[in-house]
Amino acid sequence: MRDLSAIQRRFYELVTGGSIAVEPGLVVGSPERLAIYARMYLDRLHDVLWDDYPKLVAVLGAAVFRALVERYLRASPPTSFTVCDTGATLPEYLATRDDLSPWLADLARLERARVDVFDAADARVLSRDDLAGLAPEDWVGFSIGWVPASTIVRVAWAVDDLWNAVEEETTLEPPSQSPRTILVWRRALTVFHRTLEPDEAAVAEVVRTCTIGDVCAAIGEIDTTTTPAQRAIELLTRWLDAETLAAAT
Amino acid sequence: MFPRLGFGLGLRTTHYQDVVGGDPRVDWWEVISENFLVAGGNPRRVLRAVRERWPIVMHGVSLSIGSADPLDEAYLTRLAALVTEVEPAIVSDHLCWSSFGGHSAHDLWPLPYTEQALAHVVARVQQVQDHLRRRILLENPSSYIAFAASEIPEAEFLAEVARRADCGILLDVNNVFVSATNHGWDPHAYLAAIPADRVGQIHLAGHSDHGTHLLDTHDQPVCDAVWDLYAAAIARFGDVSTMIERDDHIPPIPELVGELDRAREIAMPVRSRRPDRLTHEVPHA
Repeated sequence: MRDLSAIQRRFYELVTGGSIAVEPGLVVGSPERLAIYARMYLDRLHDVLWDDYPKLVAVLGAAVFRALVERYLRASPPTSFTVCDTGATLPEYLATRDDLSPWLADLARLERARVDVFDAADARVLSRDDLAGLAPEDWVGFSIGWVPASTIVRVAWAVDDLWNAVEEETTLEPPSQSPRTILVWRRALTVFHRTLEPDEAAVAEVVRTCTIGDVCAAIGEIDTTTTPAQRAIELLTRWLDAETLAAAT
Repeated sequence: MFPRLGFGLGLRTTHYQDVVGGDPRVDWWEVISENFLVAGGNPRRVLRAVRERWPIVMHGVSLSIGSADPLDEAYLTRLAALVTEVEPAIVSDHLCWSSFGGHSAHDLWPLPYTEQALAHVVARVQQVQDHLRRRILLENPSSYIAFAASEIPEAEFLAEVARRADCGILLDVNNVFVSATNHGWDPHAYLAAIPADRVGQIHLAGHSDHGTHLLDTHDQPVCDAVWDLYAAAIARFGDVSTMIERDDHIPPIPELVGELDRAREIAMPVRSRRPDRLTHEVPHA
């Protein structure tokens, strides 16, 4: 075998397929030498996923997680130049696995969101002082949005509770089926997440790009015990203090 | 032809705080390019802070210069943007391939050293250098197998790539030692085949001995045999910018600086003959 493309195709198939058979005419060396490449391929990508999905590891255990990674990589080999993207589609892959608990995909979604937010673009966050400096007549029309280092995750299972249980090293129980919306964001160098209250979750959708007036209007459409303006100020203050808002351009 | 930066270390996340908040006795830092091809967050903040105080060298792992796949234009575009922003003293990657059929293995696989591969790599290096508007350096890989089709010794292949493509060589002395041991080559003959005027940077690292072969693990100090080979390399290639790579079992910075001191000591006779330490790189035409 002499053609570059043909050699690379066969080598790629052998190494990523986990084979340790040396084919005469392809490589010089023992099967053990070829197995080094197969092991390094799997180990490196396994380690990346291990770092990205620590709660999934804790729930599944090391052996099951490694077997999952092997099957995932065969189903969805990396295509990005950055190894950080290797686990980007693991949540979707888990959702296709009928033999696994359905809440695993939601747990992976939450963990992936935290990874994505960690490296998201920086932005100048909106502060209380920024809003305090607005003229009263400019309040309603002032445009706001989430900072790039934030995202909203919708899950069908209480995986935030499971995430906390792993973090606090308490007894792990399968999460209950309980749809919820989780805000994930980065403040300074630390990633946070918080499950939103029902009206906050509804308004959070609107905030992708909107005015403060839109926030009040959205709250007004939801049955709440407070007035729209009071609740809008409460939510805006909460988001400002968490450094999740930016002035929309 | 290449800047003489002195003695550097690889910038690793475990050291971010000590580097940004301290003043380690290091002349320059090498960063893994791909770790900083992100939109924002801590890596970019650290990179900006480090760049304000030290020269930076960008070392890539995803160019896949020898792959039969087309070059990844999206990757090159982002790499070029980072180069423009960081203004690194040196940009490098590996003489290897790591992708096939649109899939990336994120490893550094050796090439079959054939005339076909040589022409292929030369053309792609020229393409990359045109894209980045600067000369790049290619690093010799460590390897555990050789392809049956290979017809050119690795050192001669690398030398010929550098000559034809007008690129530089990042000589990894540990990789020379590891591959020479694994394949039964003479490491000194390897050094002799490398053109002295093309070597723009030197890597030093540790490896692990598995009895039947050596593994390029970067998880322990540089061993005496590699220090000896470094002395031979410095004697041949001169006052080349030298750094220590450590990627696992990473010790505190002072321990690595201690290793750098050994490199400084070995290079001292050569450095004292070279008053032009701050020679700047001639831009790639």
